[in-house]
Amino acid sequence: MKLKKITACVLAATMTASLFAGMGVQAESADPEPFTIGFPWDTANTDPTWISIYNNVKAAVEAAGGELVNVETDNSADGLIDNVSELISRDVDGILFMPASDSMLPTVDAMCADAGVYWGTIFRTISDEDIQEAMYSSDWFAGGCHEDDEACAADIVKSMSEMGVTDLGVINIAKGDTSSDLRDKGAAEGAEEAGVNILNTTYDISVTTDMTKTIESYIAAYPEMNGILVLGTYCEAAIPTIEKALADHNKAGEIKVGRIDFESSLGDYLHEGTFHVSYGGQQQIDPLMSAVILVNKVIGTPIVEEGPTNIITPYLELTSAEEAADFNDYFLGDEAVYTADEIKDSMIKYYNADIDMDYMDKLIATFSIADVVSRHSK
Amino acid sequence: MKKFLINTLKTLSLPVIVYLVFLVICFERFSNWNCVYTIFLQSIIPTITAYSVAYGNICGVFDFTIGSRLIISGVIGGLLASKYGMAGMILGALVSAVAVSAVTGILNWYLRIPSLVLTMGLTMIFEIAGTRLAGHYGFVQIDTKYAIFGSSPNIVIIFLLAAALFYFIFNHTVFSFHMRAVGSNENVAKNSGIKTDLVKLKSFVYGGIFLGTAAILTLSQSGSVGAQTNLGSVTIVFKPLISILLALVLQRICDLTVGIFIAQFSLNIIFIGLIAAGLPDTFQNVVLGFFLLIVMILFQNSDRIEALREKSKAHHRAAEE
Repeated sequence: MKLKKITACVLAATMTASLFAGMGVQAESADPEPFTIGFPWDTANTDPTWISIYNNVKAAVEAAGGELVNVETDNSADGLIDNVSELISRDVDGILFMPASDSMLPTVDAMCADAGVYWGTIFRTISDEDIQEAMYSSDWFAGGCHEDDEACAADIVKSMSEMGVTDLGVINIAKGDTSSDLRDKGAAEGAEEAGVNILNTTYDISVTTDMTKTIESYIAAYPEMNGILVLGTYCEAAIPTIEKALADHNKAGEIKVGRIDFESSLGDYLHEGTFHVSYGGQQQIDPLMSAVILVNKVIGTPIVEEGPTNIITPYLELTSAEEAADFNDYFLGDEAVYTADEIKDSMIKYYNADIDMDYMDKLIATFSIADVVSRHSK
Repeated sequence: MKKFLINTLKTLSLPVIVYLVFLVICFERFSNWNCVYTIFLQSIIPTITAYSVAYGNICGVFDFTIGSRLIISGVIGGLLASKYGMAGMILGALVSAVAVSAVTGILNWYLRIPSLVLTMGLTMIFEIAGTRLAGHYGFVQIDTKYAIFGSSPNIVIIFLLAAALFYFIFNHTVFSFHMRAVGSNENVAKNSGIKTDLVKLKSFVYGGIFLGTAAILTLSQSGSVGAQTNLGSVTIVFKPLISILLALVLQRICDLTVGIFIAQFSLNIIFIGLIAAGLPDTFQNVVLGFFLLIVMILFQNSDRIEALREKSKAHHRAAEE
């Protein structure tokens, strides 16, 4: 009888232990339900920055076992609303996009709420307070990343001022774009603080011929100009074109050149001493983190329990040819700035219960060109 | 001779008046030779691009592909420059421009769909071809030693040669008469025995020569050519097109060859003038639009204005008597 009791206790203990053990195994090995994330993006564009944005979003989605569904877009407000409609009809679970304006967001939110689809944004903040309040109270807005465009623009103007720039010709992306407006505002603040005179701003240059024309016009109209700042542009080969125009007028090196958003050719000109400062690097980490925010929400483990998750990603400063070479190799290559395994381990809450806003902020704080090189160098 | 001199003065008065307006607005920035010379140099590439558009435009063909064809030939010229040097760049740009233009012309001939629709579709295809050719970084850059055509005096010499060729084709060939006939009334031209489709094809091919030249100059001046997608290349055609519209109005007092340049030069004076005046570039488009409208209204209604003036004189005379 005693033996029976002992045996029963041992068996009961074994069964109980195996039950917990089984649960442990299940929690470690199970993956979230399969899901799809829609991403309107211009994948026909061969600009390495644009390709890297897509690669980073893809890595984040696939890290949690999801599938990325792409539709071609022109990134205009009307075009994006059509894209969202198309993606909803393709039954995606979440949609990530780069808003063209604040005013398009209520429409997107209404469409997503009707369809029961989460949505998130990349690169853009919501400036309009009424729209921001409405979106932040939406159950379907997962959040997103943005940069402090205003502070960045102010900083780069002050940085150029320290290099001796007093009269600045500026180039920016189209007016009305949230980032463009904030960078304009920041540049004006930085210029006022540093005593720099902004001579003129030209917007929405998309082809090299117009870029050349603008720079030559600045040189002709403003003999006192000693700095050119590209606050933003979608023109391919912007810096090589500017440098060529300056060289043709014997102004290369004499006129200081700065740019927000890195591009692949900066290293050569930094090496030559004809290009001087750039703030960027956010073009890879922002979409990756934004995708991580949306993915966590879609799979039911949001980083923040109440309301949207908003992360401010930092601008990195590029001032040497070596950094520029590393940037080209490790940010514009085929690999994302965090691999799928790194994302799974350190950014997907389903696999790592420690993740919260503090955790993410600390992770972002460690992000730099050197950090990516150290993690990915072979 | 007297009429020629009067017409020349009338033609030159357009840029002179525009220049004087900006001289009054911002004398310090505008009253230097460098400014005028920059305006002159900046007018060259759009003028040659406009030459490539003009033949088709006169034939009644609306062509969106100009920008994408310019980019393709620039990219091919740039790629061949790295392999075969200067000869590769020149031949690559010229041959590819003529070839792509011929393809566009042949499709326009055989597909028989409106040129607006066809060229819109082809623009998208050419843009994708351009981005694929441009490779990983989306643009092609040339060595500075090959970029000798983008600066003075070479660019001026090439411009004069291109203008002479355009003038010759436009005024002294059978094609030029056929082109005008097709543009005036295609059905009548066809009934007269003119092969209208062949004329249109020729307008693309001849235009391709100027387009190739513009591509070489663009490549030389900017040092690079970037690919475009999402119809981004279409913007390249707008300013040359405005200059053609103005030149067609000016045609009654000067040859189209000169008219296109004068119109482009005047537009560039406005462009730099507004920058010098510190006005935002959004305002430039408004002024350019107004400028186009005012010039066209004045020239298109010159007969009516003259008639009104005569009527007013007659009225005064009658009152005096």
